Formats: sequence, C-alpha cells, structure tokens
Amino acid sequence: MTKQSTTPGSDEAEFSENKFDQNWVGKIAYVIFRYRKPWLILFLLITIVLAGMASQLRVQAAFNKMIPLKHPYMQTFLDYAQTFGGANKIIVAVKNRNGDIYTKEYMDTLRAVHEEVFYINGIERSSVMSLFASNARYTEVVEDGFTGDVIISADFAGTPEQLEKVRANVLKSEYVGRIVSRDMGAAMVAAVLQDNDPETGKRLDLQEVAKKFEDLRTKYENDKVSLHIIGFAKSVGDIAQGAAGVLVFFAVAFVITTVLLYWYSGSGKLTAVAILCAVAPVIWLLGLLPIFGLGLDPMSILVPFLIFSIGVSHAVQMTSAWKLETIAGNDGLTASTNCFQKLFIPGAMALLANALGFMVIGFVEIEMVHELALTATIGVSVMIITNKMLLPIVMSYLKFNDPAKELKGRETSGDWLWEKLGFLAEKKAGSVAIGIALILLAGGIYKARDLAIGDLGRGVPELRPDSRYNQDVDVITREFALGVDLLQIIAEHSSKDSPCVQRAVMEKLEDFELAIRQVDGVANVRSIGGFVKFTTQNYSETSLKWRTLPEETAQIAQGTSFATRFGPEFMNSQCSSLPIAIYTSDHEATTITRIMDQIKLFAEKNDTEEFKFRMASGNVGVMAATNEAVHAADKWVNLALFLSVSVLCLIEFRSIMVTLCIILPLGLVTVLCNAVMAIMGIGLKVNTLPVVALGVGVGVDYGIYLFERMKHEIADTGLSLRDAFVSALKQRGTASVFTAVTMTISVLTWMGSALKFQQDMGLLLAFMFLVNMFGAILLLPALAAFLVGERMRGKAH
Amino acid sequence: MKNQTVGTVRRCAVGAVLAAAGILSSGLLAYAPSALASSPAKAVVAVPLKPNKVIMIDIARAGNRMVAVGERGVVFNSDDDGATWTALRTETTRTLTSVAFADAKIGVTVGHGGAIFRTEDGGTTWAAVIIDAIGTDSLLSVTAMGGQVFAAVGSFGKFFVSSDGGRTWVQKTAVDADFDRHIFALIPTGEYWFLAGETGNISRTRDQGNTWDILPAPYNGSFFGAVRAKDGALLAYGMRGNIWYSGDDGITWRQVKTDTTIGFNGARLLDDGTLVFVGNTGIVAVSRDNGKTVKVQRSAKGTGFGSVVQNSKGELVYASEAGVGILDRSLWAE
Repeated sequence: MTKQSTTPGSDEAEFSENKFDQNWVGKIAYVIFRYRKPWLILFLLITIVLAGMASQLRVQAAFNKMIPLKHPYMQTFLDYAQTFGGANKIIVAVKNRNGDIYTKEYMDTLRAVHEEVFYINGIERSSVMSLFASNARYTEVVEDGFTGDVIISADFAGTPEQLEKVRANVLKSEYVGRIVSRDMGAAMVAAVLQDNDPETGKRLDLQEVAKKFEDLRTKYENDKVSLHIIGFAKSVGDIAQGAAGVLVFFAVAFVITTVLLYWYSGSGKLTAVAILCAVAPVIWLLGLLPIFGLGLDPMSILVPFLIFSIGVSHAVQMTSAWKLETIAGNDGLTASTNCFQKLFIPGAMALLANALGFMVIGFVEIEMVHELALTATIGVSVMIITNKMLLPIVMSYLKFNDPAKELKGRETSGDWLWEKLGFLAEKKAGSVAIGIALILLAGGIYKARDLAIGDLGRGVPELRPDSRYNQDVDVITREFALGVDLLQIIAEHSSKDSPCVQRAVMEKLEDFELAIRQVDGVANVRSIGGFVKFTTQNYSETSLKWRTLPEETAQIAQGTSFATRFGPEFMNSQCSSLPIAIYTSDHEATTITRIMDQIKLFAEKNDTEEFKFRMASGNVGVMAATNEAVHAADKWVNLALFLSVSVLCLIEFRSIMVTLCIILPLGLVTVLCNAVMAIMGIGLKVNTLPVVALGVGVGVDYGIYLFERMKHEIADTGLSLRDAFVSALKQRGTASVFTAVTMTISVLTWMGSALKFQQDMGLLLAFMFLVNMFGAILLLPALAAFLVGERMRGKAH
Repeated sequence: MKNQTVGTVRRCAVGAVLAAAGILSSGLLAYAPSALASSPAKAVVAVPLKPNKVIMIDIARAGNRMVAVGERGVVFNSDDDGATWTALRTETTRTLTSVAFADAKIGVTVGHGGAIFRTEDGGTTWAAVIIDAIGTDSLLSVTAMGGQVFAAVGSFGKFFVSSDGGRTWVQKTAVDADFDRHIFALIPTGEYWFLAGETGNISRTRDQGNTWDILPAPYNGSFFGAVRAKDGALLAYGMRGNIWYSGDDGITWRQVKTDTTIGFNGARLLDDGTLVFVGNTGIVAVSRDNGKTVKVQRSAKGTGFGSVVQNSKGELVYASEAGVGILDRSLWAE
C-alpha cells in the first residue's frame, strides 16, 4: 500500500524508510528520493557531458551498411565491386520542349551544358560524352571495310546545312537511343566521376557534385529546354538533402507536442518538465552513440525522434498521476514518491517491452538495421532512468499554491466516456467487440496475403515516386534505350586458357542470354556472348545471317578484342570473369524473384567445377539479397517479438489469460498493419520491417499500463472487472489516448519527408500507435471479460 | 454451481478459440509473404521461349503454316497466320539461317556449324541430315528449286543439291574450282539458277550447277540475297542499302535508288506482284513496279528484320532480331 503524507510541504529531514512500500520498489524509491539532490546533480552533469559528446555525432550513409553483407550475393558484389562496380556515371539529358534537337538554339544549349559538365570538379574529363565530344563519331561498314568521321565538325556554327549534316551523321551512328533519344527530341551529356577529388585527393564529395549539377539545371532549364539529371551521385545528393529535412519535422513535432501537452495538462510548469525529461533521453542517446562508435544514417535519424515521442508518452503517464496525487492534497515529494512506486513496474516493463521490440529487429542481417536496433534499444534503456528517476525527482521540487486551480487540465475530461465504455468489460458487449475484431482479423488476413516484399515503385526507392529525380529517371529511360535497374551475374571461369575465346564458354553465355531473355520483367540481357555474335554480324558486312558465334577461335577472338573497347563491361583483364548485365523492367520483388529463380535454375543445370554463374550484383542484385534477408528475418522478428513481449507480460501478471488479453489485440493490429501495407502498396522491406516491431513495442504500453491498474483495483479494492476497468481508464486511459494522439501526430509529420521510406514509416507507425490504443481500450476489456472474468478478485480474497 | 461450470467451460472454449486465432494470426503474419519469396525447395521450371524474345533469321510458308528458324536451333510454328506460335528446338545449338519447303510437308532448314535438318510433317518434327562434306562450315541458304529439288549454299563456296526432298545431298562446285566466297543465295529464275554472294559475285547456271556463267559484277560489295519480280526481272540486294535491278537475266544491272546505307537481309515477291525488301534497324523497301523503284520506310521499333513471308490472309509475317510477328501494314501496304 502506498503511504500518503498528511503534512504538505514536508522536507527531506522527515524522510524515514518506513514511509515507503515494504518491497524492493519501495527500497529503490527510498534510495532515490532520500538522495534526490545528489541524483539530480548527477543527472544534470551526465546530460551536460553527453550533450558535449553529441556534438561529435555525424550523419553518414555508408553504402555497405545498407546491404546484407553476409548474403552470398553480396559476397559476389564485394568480390567484383572494384572490377565491375561500374563507373559512377552521371547523365544530363537536355530535352527540347518543342521539336527535335536539330535547331541552332538547342545545339548551343547542348554545347554549353557539355562544356560546363566538362569543368565540374571530380568529372573524369576524358569520359564526357555527347554529340559535341570529339570521340562522338559514326562508323559505317563499307564495301572495303569500315569508314567514319566525327558527328559534329569542329567548324559547326549551327547553319541549316550543318544541322542537316549532323542529322544524317547521327542516323549513321550507333548513338540513336544512346546519346540521342529515339525520337530525336533530346540528347544527353554523360560523364564518369572520379573516385577521389583531384583538388584535395580526398574521397569525392558526391553531395557537392550533386549540387553542382542542380546549379546547372537552374542555369539552363527554361521554357524551351528541360534538363533531366540522373546518376548515383545525384541520387545520393537528393537523399542526403531529404534526410536533412527530417530536422524540420523534428521541430514541427516538438512544437505540436508541446502545445498539445500544455492544452492537456493546463500547466506550463508541468509541460516544461515533461518536455525536458523527454528531451533528456534524446540528448543522452545522441551523446552515447559516438561512445559506442555509432553514427546516424537516414534511417536511424528517425530514432531520436521516436525516443522523444515515447519519452513524452511515459512522461504524460507520470505527470498525470502526479497531478492526481497533488490535487488529492499531497505535496510534490510525496506525490512523486507515490507516482514512482505506482508507475515504476508498469513503466519499466513497458520500456523493457519497447527495448525488446527494438532488439528483435536485429534478426535482419543488415548493418544499418543492427545499428537502428542498437540505437533504439539504447534510447529506451536510458529512458528508464530519465523517466522513472529524473522526472519524479524534478517534479518533487514543484510547488503549487492552489493545485486544484493551477493544475486544471484535461486529465479527467475523458471520465464521462470511460464510464460509458465500462460495458465493454462485460460479456454481452464484449462478445460484440470480439466479433468485430474477428471480422477485422479475417479481412486483414485476406488483404495481408497481397503484402509484397521489397520495393514496389519505379526509380530510386528511397525517393518519392513523384520526386524530381524519379521523374527524370522516367523521362530518360523512356526516351533513351537505357536501363537503370541492373542485375549483374558474373560467369566465372577457372581456366587459365583464355576462357573468353573458347567457343564452349561463349555458347554457355549465349544459352544463358536466351533463357533469361524469356523471363517476364527482363528488358535486355548483355554479355560477351551476345556481343561476339553482334560483332560477327558487323564483320560480315552486317548480314543478319551472321548473327552467330563463329566456329573458329580466331574469329571469336576478333569479337572479344572488340569488346575490350568497352573497358570492363564484358570481362575482367584476365578474361576469367565475364559479367552478364540483365536490365529489368522494374525492381519489384516479384519481378526480381521470378528472374532470380530462373537464374538459379540455369546455374543448377549448367554450373561445372570450371565454369560457374555467380549471383548477383548491380542495384537489383543488392535488392534481391536485401529482399531475401528481409524475408528470412521476417518470421523470426515476429516470432521473437511476440514471444518476448508475452514472456514479459507473463512475468508481470503471472497469468496466461491476462497475457493473451494484452497480446491478442497487438496481433490483430499487426495483421491490420500488414493489410494496410498491402492496400497502400508499401512493401515489406528493410525500412518497414522494423515498424511492426516498433509499433508492437510501443503499443504494448497501453495494455500493460491499463491492466496493471486493473489488477491493483481488483486485488486491492475488490472492484468488479467492469468497475476496475473504468477506474483504470480514469487513471490512465485519458493519458493513453492523449499520448497515442500526440505520438501519432508526431510521426505523421514524417509524411512530409522527401524520402519515400520515411513517409512509409511515418504512416505505418502512426497507424500502429493509434490503432494499438484502440485495441487496448476497446478489445482488451472484452477479452478480459471472457478470459479473466472475476477470477482475479477471487484470488485476491 | 452448475452455472459456474458452464461459465468455466465456455470461458475455456472462447479462450482456446482466441488463443488459436492469435497463434494463427501471428503464424500468418510470419508466412503470408512467403509465397512471393524465392525458395530453392519450390519447383521452378524453365520459362518457355517467347515468339518475340528469340533472334529469328528466316521464315517460310508450308501450306498454311508459318515456320521460322533462328538462334540456337529454335523453330517457331504458327497455324493461325502468325497470331500464336509454338516453339520447338532442333538438335543443334547453332543459329539456323534459312528454311524452305517443297510442299506443305517436306522442308529443309540449314544453319551454321554445318547444321541441316529435314521435316516431313510441315515443320512439327525435324531430323538431322548428315552430309560429311560440310564439316562445321556455315550453310547460309536453302531454296526449294521445284519438285523435290533443294539447293543449299554457304560459306567458302559450299554448294549442295538434293533431288529427293532433302534426304540425300550431292556436293557440287559453285562458279568454278577456285571459288571460295560466301554464297548467300541461289534462286530459280525459270531458265536458270541464279547465285548471289560475297564481294559482288553473281553467276548463273542452266544445268543445276554443273556449269556456270560468271556474270560481270556490277558492284563489289556483298549481296545477301536475290528475288525475281513478277515480270521476270531480277533484283539482287545486300549491304549498305544496295538493291540492283536486271531486266535481262543478270547480264546488265542498274542500281535502284534507296537513300539508305542500311543493309537488306531478305526480300519476298507478294501475290499481287509487290516486292518487299527488309533489313537491319527495321528498314522496309517496297516496290510496286517490279523493282524499278522502291519506297523505303523504317519501323518505329528499329529491330532488324531477317525475312518476311505472306500468310493466307495476305499479311506479312516477319522474322527479326526480336522474334516473329506480323509486320505493320503501314510499312508496306498501299
């Protein structure tokens, strides 16, 4: 039983151990509140030190952290990143808004863009390619061999005759569809970036390059031409910019939360205390990260945000309880002590559940997710200290002259509703609630079957489908014969005997190309096999009948040597590793899976000791591995999540039935969340898999807080289930609803993010937070009516 | 007491149902997406060949059936004028370059690596024919010369004749004993068999290849084929947009203006006397005056054509880098 002090304004001198509960919580409370001043100073010092540490924190986005490095595909990826990783290419397409490219004005713009790109720092100058490049030549097969010339002569001044000549040369060249669009309405300037900055020698700052290209767009885009820019560097720049935008949402959420909290609590002092104690774990977390050697990336940057929300949620439970105590006539210290003793167990349990929810995400074998799990776990763990110790200590110093008036908030404004909801804890209304839940479950399961793995959109998945970058990808892939979704398979030959002139090797590649070209979703397949066929046709004066692999090694060698012009596109320098480029029509998981299945089948049938097909690289190869890692982890994350949360509930309540009352609504909401994902076209991926875990981890709070109160009401005051439920709702329901709404609004601000996955996470977390609260208030009592009934009361007496 | 028992029983029942639902739901959660993910245990079968995804070189008509041949020994058959296709594979991995039928049933296809196959059922099944003299040389064309006579020609002057519907073949000398150029075509032109080949070689034979008249080359680039117009005029076509016209059985020639430098791979005389030439990057040249003049267009897709043939509805069915299909009428019809 909690003791109530009868002397308002009592000071620390009156401290006596027997004023506290005679259990371990009481003992902790004594230690805390007996020495509240030293504790407070200690916490302040910690906060100052960690705030200092936090300044060392860096936002980084290392590519290797985002991929499942342990996956066999990624081993291939790493083995060949250096050789075939491909050039870090950047493309600017200049499109004439009206008409084709053969006008003086257009050509002047294209030449200007070409020259500007040439001088951008970090550009490999020799790689700059466009109609204005000196190596933009056409080649013709003529009767006695080959002939050719530059496409645009050096004296080009844009006269009509010269424009006609350019038009004719372009048609003779191989560039239609490559640097000139198929319909002649656009042309591109393509360039390769150097690894290191030639000026500083350091690694090239891709964000800086991206900015330069954006400036280029601003300068040249007008009502006559549009500029479309794509390339890894540009996407990195756009993503980084999007991630930086998160700070704005943090600010927005902070303001909204503060305003709502003030409206709710009616007290500036209490609001300030709650907000400060919710910010404290964020500061501690940010300070601890550098100590653990961690940084923030575009995904984990959301964690501090989440920690703040959770912090507010628990602070509200604490301040609400404290207020009720104060209004009941207790002084600040006594109120704090009582609150601590009442809320320590359910609060710590709930936070522990949060931490467990975050930890299970670690089943996903991707470093970025591991770090997210670790970051979030650290965040919630420190919150046990800041929320359960720092907050009550700070509140114990608060003084109000007329608590009832000064603290007039809205904590009790929901009471009329709670009275009305009492009937849910009886079997009659409860069976209706359960019936509705079962219908929702059935509908949810039905819809959730459509839940896809991986990314569903087009373009770069991190950015919104309607982002400028993805629109540019659309334009460029439509106008040019260019694929952006690349799946790379490496054919590895162990022979030292020039494998790429052996007919058997070429033939295997030809067979692979033919087999994989048949798969839906494959737009194009390119390997040295098909290239040698193509070269043979050209060496045979372009007769299609010679689109074949020659019988003679010497003739194959002719094709192979021609391929060396393309650098490592078709082979490594020893000719032992032959990359096969598969351009896919999209990067949806079903497409990737379908293609990978066929590749696996081909490899199973054809791999020998000497010659193997190794999967998989390219952006689609990375997605394939990520999808497989996410899928493999999905079961374990869910299983571990529900098991650990169940075990926690079992320890706390020592009842399977109570545990079921808390867990079943969470299960229902999780199914519904998956259904929402399927309906909204959000795939299960690295970014959304943690959402369920985070949602359940946070969602379990409501159930734990409510049931913990109900248990006490029934055991201590002998109330019926219904009355206990109403009483618990009065004490904690309003706070629960308030926190659910605040957290939902906070995460909903992510919807404004420029990054697609932040939007997805915001939407889904909002859904989980809000609907879990409904589950706890509406379904939990109904389940309790059937599963628990009046048995708890029976036990107590 | 009784009520209590009932209550307990009911409570247990409901509890069991709910517990089951819970387990079910978390189970479903864990396994719902698995249908979409790849698993090695799942039986994956190879995807069948698609008519538009195989490089097809030549196409011919066997009665009302369209038969096309192409890379890796692939044959596509269509019994509905090219609307739907059935893929099959001959016993070779080499590219088949040419197909011809003596009638609705008997046909021959040839290809690289000395590949030669024969069908007696209009292309449904193909049996390999062994000709020792070929080795792995390339056969580039087979033509039905009338009756059961077939002629096959290929690289380095290779020339074979069969008089029994492709069962047995006799090697003959093309042009003369020193001739070692690739022969791309040998076509019957009434009185003669007419040969067109590499580096502007054209010759004719009156006696099925026993003796040859070497005709003066009008041009020294390669010819990829020849076709006879309705009025008997000869058209030889080939690299760099070349089409040459002869009104006197090949004695004199003049170049037909095409305004293109893209090579032509195939040609066909249609029922109404129209001549259609098709070539790389999707070019189509049409002549309605027996080859004296042509009009050239380019298909939007830009994939190279190997050959065309007319179906029973009068449409043109093509073989191309992007498989088989029906040619857009706007490219050839009036």
